[in-house]
Amino acid sequence: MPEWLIKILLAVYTRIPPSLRPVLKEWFAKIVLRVEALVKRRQIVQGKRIEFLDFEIAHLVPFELLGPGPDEILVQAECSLISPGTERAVLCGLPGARRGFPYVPGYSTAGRVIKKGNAVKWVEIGDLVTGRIKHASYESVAANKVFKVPAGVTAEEACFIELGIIVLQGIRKAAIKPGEHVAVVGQGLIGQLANRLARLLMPASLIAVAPSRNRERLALLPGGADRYLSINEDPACVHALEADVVIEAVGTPQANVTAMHCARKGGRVVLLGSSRGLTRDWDVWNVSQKKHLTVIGAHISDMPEVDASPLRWTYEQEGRLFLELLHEGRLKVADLITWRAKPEECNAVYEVLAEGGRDHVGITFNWVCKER
Amino acid sequence: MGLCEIEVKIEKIGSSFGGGGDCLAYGVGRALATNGDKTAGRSDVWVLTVIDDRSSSTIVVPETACFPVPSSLEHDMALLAVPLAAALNVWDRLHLELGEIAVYTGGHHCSDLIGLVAVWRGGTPVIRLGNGSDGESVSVGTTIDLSKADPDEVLGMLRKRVEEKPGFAAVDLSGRPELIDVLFEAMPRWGRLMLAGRPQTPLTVDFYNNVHRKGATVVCDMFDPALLLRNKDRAIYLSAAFRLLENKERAEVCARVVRGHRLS
Repeated sequence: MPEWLIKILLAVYTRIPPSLRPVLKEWFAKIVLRVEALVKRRQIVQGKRIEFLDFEIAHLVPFELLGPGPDEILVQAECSLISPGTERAVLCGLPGARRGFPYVPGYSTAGRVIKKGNAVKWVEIGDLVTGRIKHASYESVAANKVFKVPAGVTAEEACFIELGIIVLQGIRKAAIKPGEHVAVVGQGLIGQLANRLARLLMPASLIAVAPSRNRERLALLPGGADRYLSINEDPACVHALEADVVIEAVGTPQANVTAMHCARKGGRVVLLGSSRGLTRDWDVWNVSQKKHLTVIGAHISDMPEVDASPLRWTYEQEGRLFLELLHEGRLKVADLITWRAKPEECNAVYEVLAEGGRDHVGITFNWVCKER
Repeated sequence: MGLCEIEVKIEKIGSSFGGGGDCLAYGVGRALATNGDKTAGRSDVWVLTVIDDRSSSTIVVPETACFPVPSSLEHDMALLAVPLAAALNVWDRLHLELGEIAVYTGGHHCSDLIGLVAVWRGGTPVIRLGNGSDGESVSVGTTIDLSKADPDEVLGMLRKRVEEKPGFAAVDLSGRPELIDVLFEAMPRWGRLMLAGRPQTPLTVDFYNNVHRKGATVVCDMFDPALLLRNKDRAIYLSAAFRLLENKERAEVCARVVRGHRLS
């Protein structure tokens, strides 16, 4: 849209009474979408998606989107996974996660291809795909940005893709060697996935560390941790751990220091959780320098865009590996789902999340209700 | 004297420059006697060793704690091999590559030796953060003089240099929170930082933005050359240092940049 037109529209908009603005805005967006559909000769699709309307308020709302362009596919969502840390941070306006409202959350969804553009060759209608897709019933996405789900992997498993990639890149940076002692601090979804992926590397012991015992049962399921320690019960337990590798998966500033306490002299600490905010009073000498610790940052945005090098794979490479591990049965994730919610329940789901998630670990939205 | 021990008459002692408070010392001495094969009956073998007992000029040390000094090397130079080996170890641990920006801070006797080794490893540019009064600065790279700029200005200058480079490795030897803060903030994606000075107060660090999101590696350690002699890879680093110091020109540069080291 030319700038002069934007200026005129803005001048008109500011003269309209505020109470009428949302309705006009909605109509304006609809008109623009229809013009775009005509110009691009694309269909308009009606769908529903979850929106954060304000702090701690989430609703399922109807929306319209353009059908797929030449390089795109239209995906009908089957299952989407909540990323508890990021989505809670946006919902509650935590530091470093401020977004404008309405905000459409979600980035880990699996669904079926129901339409595809002319230039798309490698997926067919009906294929199950997964990738960075929002909590929405339909979404048009670039075909080369999603992963084709291998046979035998369900949508419920495949929707872990983004969280799986996040954890895989951290586990890779940890460079766990067989026979090492590993501790995972924090037993939310990231921590529990870290347990499972670290377990594949044959550590001598894998200790789950968390404040309470709420998530103990899940952490000790087959493929998970060997032992579970509660910091609330014994705050000093972290000092006796002496782990070769510590994965920090809590996502609070103080947890960074707790993770360092868990490490042995010469140990490695991987900061996998998003600890928004400042870590204060870090006694770097006694906690870290005297122990010769190496602290490694691991965030999905650190991944290289192209090519791979030791300890750094691309997003696509990690994604393919995650699906391969699921396909081969070396990794199980479905048992980490503690709440299979309907999209209509989103308000209740996000209320729980805003309170800290209670005992939940994996929360999914199931978009396709099958008759049972 | 137990099995595999050497009796050494210490001739020269090197200072421990670390801030650890352990006061480790090392020295160069003549191996007098041994129950192993290497030096038995020979008095012309000089060794470098850790000194646990400074009260006596003749000490008995395990053979594994002794490193034969090449005959071509003067004994002062042998002492210099220890901080040089430690400096080599620092950049090795930070994987400094040819063409990457290397930053180090003043505030340590060996700061400029670390800068010099950064140049030898191909650091381009090598930047020293320090006060003009820190002491003799070797012309190993650009110096950002902290006495003439506030931390925000320093950060701005450093960021400008960092933007132009694909890689970043830095060592803090000062332990000064304001300098450490500048290094954390200036560090780009995939940066590597070693905290090797002893801070006198606890630090406040934005791990989320400066470590987690940048995929950075922070090595927490102390820079104490004497500790190198207890490093499992000490033989590798000492051998490299000995080889480097066998070149007289290079050795003189090294001696100049280590404050307190005087050639006899």
